[in-house]
Amino acid sequence: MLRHKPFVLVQTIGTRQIVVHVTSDELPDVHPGMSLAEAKGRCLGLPHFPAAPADDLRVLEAVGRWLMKFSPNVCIAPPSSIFLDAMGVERLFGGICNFRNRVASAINSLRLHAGVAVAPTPGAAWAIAAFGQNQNPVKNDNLSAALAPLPPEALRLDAGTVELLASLGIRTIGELVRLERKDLAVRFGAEILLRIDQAMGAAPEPLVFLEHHTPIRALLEFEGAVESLEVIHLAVRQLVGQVAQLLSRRGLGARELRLVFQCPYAPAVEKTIRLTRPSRNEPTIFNLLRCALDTMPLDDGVIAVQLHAVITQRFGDEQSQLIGGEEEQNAAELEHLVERLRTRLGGDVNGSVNWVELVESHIPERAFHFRDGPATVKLSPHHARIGEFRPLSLLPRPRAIKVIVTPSECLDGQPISFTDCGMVHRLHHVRGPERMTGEWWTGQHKTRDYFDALDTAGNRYWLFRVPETGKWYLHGTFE
Amino acid sequence: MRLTTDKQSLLRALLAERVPSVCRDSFRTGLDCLDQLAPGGEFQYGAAHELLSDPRSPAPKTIALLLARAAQQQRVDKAGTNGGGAVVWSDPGHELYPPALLSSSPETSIDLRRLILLRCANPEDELWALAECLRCKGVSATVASISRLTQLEARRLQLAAERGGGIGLFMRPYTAKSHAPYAAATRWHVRPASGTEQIQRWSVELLHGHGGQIGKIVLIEVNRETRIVRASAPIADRSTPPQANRATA
Repeated sequence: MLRHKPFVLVQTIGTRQIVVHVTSDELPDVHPGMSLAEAKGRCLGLPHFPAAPADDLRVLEAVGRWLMKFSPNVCIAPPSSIFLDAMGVERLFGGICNFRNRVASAINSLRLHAGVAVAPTPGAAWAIAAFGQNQNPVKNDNLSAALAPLPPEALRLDAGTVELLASLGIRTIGELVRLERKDLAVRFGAEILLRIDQAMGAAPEPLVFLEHHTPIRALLEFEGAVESLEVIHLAVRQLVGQVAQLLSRRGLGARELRLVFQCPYAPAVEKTIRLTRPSRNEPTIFNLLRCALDTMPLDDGVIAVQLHAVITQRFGDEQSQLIGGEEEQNAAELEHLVERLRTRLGGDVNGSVNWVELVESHIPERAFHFRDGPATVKLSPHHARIGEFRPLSLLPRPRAIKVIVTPSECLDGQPISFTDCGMVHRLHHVRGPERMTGEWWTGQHKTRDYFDALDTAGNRYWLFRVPETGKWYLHGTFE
Repeated sequence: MRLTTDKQSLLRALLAERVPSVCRDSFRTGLDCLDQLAPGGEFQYGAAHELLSDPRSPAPKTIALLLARAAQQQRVDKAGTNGGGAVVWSDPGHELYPPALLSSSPETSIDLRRLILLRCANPEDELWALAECLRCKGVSATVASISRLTQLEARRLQLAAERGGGIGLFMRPYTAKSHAPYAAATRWHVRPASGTEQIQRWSVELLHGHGGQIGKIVLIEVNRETRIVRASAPIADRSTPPQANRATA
């Protein structure tokens, strides 16, 4: 939908929303660094989305790993560049031109727009990919000729330097390199010389390549279908041992494990378990898997079992738990408990086991949301002074009730009795009203007047009236 | 001889002075009237406590919260650090309203970072999960509303609590069968009592509990304005209608 429509990415810095990225060159008035309000003023109806740098980096790494099929050495350079070491691999693709075309079409097949260039140095490749039109691979002998017409920002200079160069009338790299090196260093600092040298191949540019990952998995195949649960347990235990060994060899702990059973005449049965912290402890993992096994349908037998550590995390402080006090042991036991419960009961966020965090909203049912771990921030002062009593039980949806008010027919009257599910509750005392205006900016604009009502039996209820309609609802009980 | 009696009295005095043991196995709510009813004047750790209420009236969540908070605050582990452990609250019907845990009085508020909400799809899963929580040493109190519990299941939960050292607080309906054998350390009957505009009251009666003051009633009240929780004997409470008292006497 948005593929042909320009939009901007916005980051919230303090209380200001700043444009950090513009997707199209068709918006000459909008540029990164201006506030969202200004950008919207200049370009009416401009769609904007929050920027997610962490997600961007993950996607970049994923693309980088995918590009490993072209070269074993891939380096990602945030925010949006990927370097491939083409040395020696072009023979496999029938020449460097073919190699470039294959990479370009592969990236196009992902529907990503990217400039692809081949050059003797990373700096030159970046410059041509970002600013050049040249599709042919650049060789050592035509390197300076290829770079000369490009603008200076192709050298990956910072914004201040680029602006200064532009104000001095230096429009291309060719003009830049004709200047005296000594003067450049004095005027712009050493960085500009380094960038020129890196592009021209006079200075080395070390790249940090992505590490190779081989998946951590173990497989056990049976000769025939196995139905005995003991045998399956034994097999799983063996697989856990193998996976734990692989994990400890790499200094990793598993965060997510997937157990897959291949069945003879049925689709594979699989179960994913998540751990709250990385672990490669065999008994822990096995106990979790055993919980998972209880709920898996394995009646028709199993011909193969596979255990795969899907998500891993660096982890090396196994010893510290031994030294830690009782308190830490209890905390660790609590974490294991949560893992066990989640494995058997399923789900994480909005699932079966949750923590709660309060959110600033005066609509009662929106004042909190669920988390899959304890909230890390302390309560904001707003919550430290919740003024009024709140009921311990809140109905998921307010229930319409019939209320008799005094003076009768008065829209501001105090309730004296209400009927809920056929039961009449006479009210002894009523506190209220406590008025809560709707969140008009979210479209929920109805005002509510809450009453804390005590009936003759001693139960307390939380009722509210919508003044706009005069209707009454039961929302909770003080239990 | 005189010397020895002095020694003996000294010894008695020393013994009377309670040495705070590092690892406590019981807690108090701090509300003297309520504590006095419990066996030995204290609530046991490593045990299940049941709160029974009329099935038609709301579950006694405030009383459960009061006990859970006290159990969490006074839990002392072997390392000597105070106030540890999480509170697990089983809430399959999505009823509990967490902001209320902070808005009420300090005696009934729980740190939300140490509260875990448990929501199971069916009663079997819930019983399994409750036993797991009770068995865990990192959990100080497990609160649940259980309508049906067999003798065997109750016993299993009690054993799990003994292993974990926390308490189980089970809100259960008060029925004719409630006097049958039970597996909890104490059982309380909680009824709403008439209050005032500012004050909400419950009457709490000890039904079962070996060595406790069975049959005695205390009134627990929460004041909306001052946020003070108090427990009192019912006679001292002047706001109950005197006519009704005389009529029953």
